[in-house]
Amino acid sequence: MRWIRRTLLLIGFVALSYVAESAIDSELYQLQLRRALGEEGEKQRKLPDGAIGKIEIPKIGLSAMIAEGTEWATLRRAIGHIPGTAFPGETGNAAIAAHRDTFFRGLRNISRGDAIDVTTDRGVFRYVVESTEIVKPNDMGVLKPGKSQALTLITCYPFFWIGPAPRRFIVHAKVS
Amino acid sequence: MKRLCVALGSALCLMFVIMLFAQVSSAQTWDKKTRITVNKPWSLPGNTVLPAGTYVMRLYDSASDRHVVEIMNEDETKLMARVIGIPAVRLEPSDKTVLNFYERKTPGPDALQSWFYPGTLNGVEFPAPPAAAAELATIDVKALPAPEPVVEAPPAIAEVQPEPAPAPEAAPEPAPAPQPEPQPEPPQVAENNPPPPPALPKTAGELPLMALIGLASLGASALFRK
Repeated sequence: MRWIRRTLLLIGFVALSYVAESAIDSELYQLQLRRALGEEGEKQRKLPDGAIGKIEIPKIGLSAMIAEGTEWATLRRAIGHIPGTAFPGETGNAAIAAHRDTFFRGLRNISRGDAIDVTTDRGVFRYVVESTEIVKPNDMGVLKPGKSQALTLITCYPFFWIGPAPRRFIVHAKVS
Repeated sequence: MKRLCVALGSALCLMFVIMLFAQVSSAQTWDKKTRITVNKPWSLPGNTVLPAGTYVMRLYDSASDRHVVEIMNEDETKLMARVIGIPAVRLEPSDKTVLNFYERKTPGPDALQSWFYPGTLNGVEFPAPPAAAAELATIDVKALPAPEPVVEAPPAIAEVQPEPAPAPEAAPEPAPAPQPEPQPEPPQVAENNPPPPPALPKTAGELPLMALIGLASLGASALFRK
């Protein structure tokens, strides 16, 4: 009986340590990128390799850094820019994705007309939410490039779900 | 209890070591790296002529200027050229890399005109080198093939028997149009684009599940204590 209790204790400790370590690692990475981008009023500095910029959505209280790629390691620490799509500030469809249980949890409260600010080393770009939709994971049409400066946010749906979610929540925004 | 502490400490250390080596993905698309194969010599601004072969094009790692392009050799061990371009915009995006070359009238290496990365409307344009600009100015537009005239069917005419008219004189045959000189074929470029993702990214984090497992395990171990 004792070894069962110890095993359970070990599993619980390891699992919670992993959660804590992930949160700390993410915070440290975000802090590093914020310093590289420069705080308001400071002269902007060069972003490290793989960093894109910062996204801010005042309505839902989101302020997080964007990194290149949507691999597990990237999304664990930052919001990921989907490779092959335009970069924020460029003409085309800039698509970014993040976990629904970390950075993009607040997206469930976003609505049409909300402002999204993206800061890169090229400047600050303000987007305005035009619509939201729920699609299947294989619906690649949401990444289709257009002729305007668009921003697409992607996360899992439903928001309160444990494990891989069956749908994706999409936010379409265009530069204002 | 001492062994348990040692085990817990070891597991924690192992986890931190693993996480330490978890790196953020490389900036392969940030620098828009593209592998190209050119089947004939080609030139770049600055009188740089590169022989046929496989090269790697990428944006110079500059935060302030996204229009400096580096051309490396196939192994990416040698920088063949670094050229400064200007912003270029196209109206329709494509899912493949597009390289445009300046038109040439005389034989010689084709000069690179612009480069567009897949899925983007913004690219890099390379100003025409003086030699290419001079050649462009001398191209005889009149020698270019004219579009073929559209032949329309004559409108239907009511059946009227016309009086026999005298045979018209044979119209002189039109002079043959001058044949334009064959234009040199642009170099063929083999494209090696990043494959499109098969599905939208997986954005389900494992943290809620891990937290649930951790809390459940601790709760169960507390029950076993009783």
